[in-house]
Amino acid sequence: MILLNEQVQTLVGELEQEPSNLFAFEQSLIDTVAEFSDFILKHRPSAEIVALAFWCRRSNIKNLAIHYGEQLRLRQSRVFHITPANVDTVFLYTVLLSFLVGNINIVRLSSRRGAISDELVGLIQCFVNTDKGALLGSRCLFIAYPASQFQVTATLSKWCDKRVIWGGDDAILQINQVAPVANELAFPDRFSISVLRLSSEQDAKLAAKQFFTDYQSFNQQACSSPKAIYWLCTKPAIQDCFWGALAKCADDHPQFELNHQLNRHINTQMLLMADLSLKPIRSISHPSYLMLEFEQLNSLSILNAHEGNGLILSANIDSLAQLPEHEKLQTVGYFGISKDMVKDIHALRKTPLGSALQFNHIWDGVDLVKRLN
Amino acid sequence: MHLSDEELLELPVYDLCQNEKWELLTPLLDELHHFHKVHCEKYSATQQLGGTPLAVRAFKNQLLSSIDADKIHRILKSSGTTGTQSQIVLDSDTARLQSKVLSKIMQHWLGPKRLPLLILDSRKALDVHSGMSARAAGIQGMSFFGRDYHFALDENMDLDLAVIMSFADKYAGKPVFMYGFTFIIWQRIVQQLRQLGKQVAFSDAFLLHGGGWKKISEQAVDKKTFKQELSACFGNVTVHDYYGMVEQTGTIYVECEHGMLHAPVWSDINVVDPVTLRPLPAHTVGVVQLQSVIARSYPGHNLLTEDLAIIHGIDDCVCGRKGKYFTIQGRVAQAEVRGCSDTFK
Repeated sequence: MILLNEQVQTLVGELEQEPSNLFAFEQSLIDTVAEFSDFILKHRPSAEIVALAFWCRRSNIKNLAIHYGEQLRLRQSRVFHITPANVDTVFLYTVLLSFLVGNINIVRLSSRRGAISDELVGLIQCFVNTDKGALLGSRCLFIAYPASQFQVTATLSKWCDKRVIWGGDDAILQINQVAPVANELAFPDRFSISVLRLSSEQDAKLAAKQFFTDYQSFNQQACSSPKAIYWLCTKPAIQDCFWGALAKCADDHPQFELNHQLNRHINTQMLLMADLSLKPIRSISHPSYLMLEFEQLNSLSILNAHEGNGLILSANIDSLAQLPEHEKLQTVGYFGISKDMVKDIHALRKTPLGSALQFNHIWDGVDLVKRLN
Repeated sequence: MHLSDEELLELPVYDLCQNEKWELLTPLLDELHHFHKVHCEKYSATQQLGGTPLAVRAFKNQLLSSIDADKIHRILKSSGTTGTQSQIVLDSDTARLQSKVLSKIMQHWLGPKRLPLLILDSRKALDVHSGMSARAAGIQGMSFFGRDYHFALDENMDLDLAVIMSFADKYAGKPVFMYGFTFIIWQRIVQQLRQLGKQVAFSDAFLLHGGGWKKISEQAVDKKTFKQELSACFGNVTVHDYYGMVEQTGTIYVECEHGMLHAPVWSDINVVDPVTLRPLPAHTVGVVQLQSVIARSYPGHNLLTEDLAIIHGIDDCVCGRKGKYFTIQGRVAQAEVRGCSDTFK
């Protein structure tokens, strides 16, 4: 079907020569995705994969189908997905949505992908070999090839009607220089923060638990992972309570390894050198996080250079108006802030603390279902 | 008390006990810390929460200098596989100290006279890259300690048996010096000699190799095998690995007869905890921190590397050399690949 070279490795799937035209959210598509959810949960996967399975459970997919109802067009598209290396499961959300609306998909996985990505590919492989999973394998092809193989990217970009890049600014720019396409859904660099208003020790414990969920997934490298905490009118003693409670959550679920721990220190130095106006006042180093407190953290531009790994920047504010604004600010996770006040936060996405990483089919303000259909 | 540079250079390379060494080095390191804080704004930014070793990665993509631009004598560059290079600013004093220190260390191992040198590489390595590749820099640096250079590999990286044989004949029964990169020695020299079934019997050869074990250990070759194979190829040869980096040129850590890397008197190693950055007890794997009193023109006197090591002891290595001795245990996972293992693809 498509001329590819020996550098391209097929991971899972075999596209049908002439795939049948399926309606968006046709029962067979919904069933396949719902079965996939059940299938992966049975295999007790990593937490990130559990989150994916939870998202694509039958009831959620049915709700999507009902929500979009008759709005969708019938024509199926060919979609080429280019996925990120650092957030191992994110690509599958858009692939499954694309599958659900009836599209044929080729998915390029990064050669630098992580262990969770491999685990997920293994699960997909097992699933498509079952009767219930065959449809997924016939409409989604997963491949890997080195990024330097520009002609492969170009070939696949010609093949597709739509391209999805979970890439970051540099990747998007590079790919478009080599192979521009008319119809592209691209997710550029974004970063996220949390704003916390705590008034008691109990608050601190609850918030620590929820924040833990948000920051530790994907080694804090997802665009929705909070990189900084802004404390709204929260006493230092209660903040200390929070850091203690966070350490405890982390001790119960150790996540970070030596390379992450070392990289936090290195990354700290890079940030301080990138913006000489930064004035750190203290730090707390724990196996699961490095907290770096600043007198002020007015500029979010340094967050571009934040590499995750459990480095948490911290600063105090007296009002939400002091939260920095930035075009790349995606998610603000909040705690202890009333609904009325949340309106004063300027970001693409605002979520209660603990749900920053929950995927939604409206992403960065884009209705993914409509765009993929 | 404060040592002048001349006194510093007179110190015996491996004879000071750790305590004596620290008494001499501590004031010098403190002074360098303050000097670089005042003269290098970026270094100063990293030291706001107290003295921490500066990440080696900080030298990539930016110039960290503690001297005025008109004092720059030379900018050393490392080769990295990712394309980002370290850049090290040297003034003439620092460059001079580096070469003097390297030469003191090498004289300890090779003796005072320059020995005939067989370079276990191709002449082409010197001109392949524009700028100074790590391979070219290594060869040029070491060629200073040898004479009558011969290259063991031809332009195509194939064995030049004629050259090797004539070198061996010319210096039969005499001490010789051999130098090369670990992976190239293994892949181009040892493998090809083995294929040809050839042996070259040296009676007294000192072989120094560097560049890391990453690529060679991928082929499941350990130190012991490496040394055995080299003995099978070259007869009576003592094989010494060394550890060092462009960020602290000069103060290299040479492996002794008992497989231990030794810190020379001008620099020191700590193995630190990745969370606290505090030194770990001996026999524990941790992250390498390197201190050097000869990093004057750039803030390289106290570095946090991305290498892992174990310190095996202090002052009591079987070889008799004093100070700390250690072995490298690889690189921190997923850290950027760098060093010389990319030199021949």
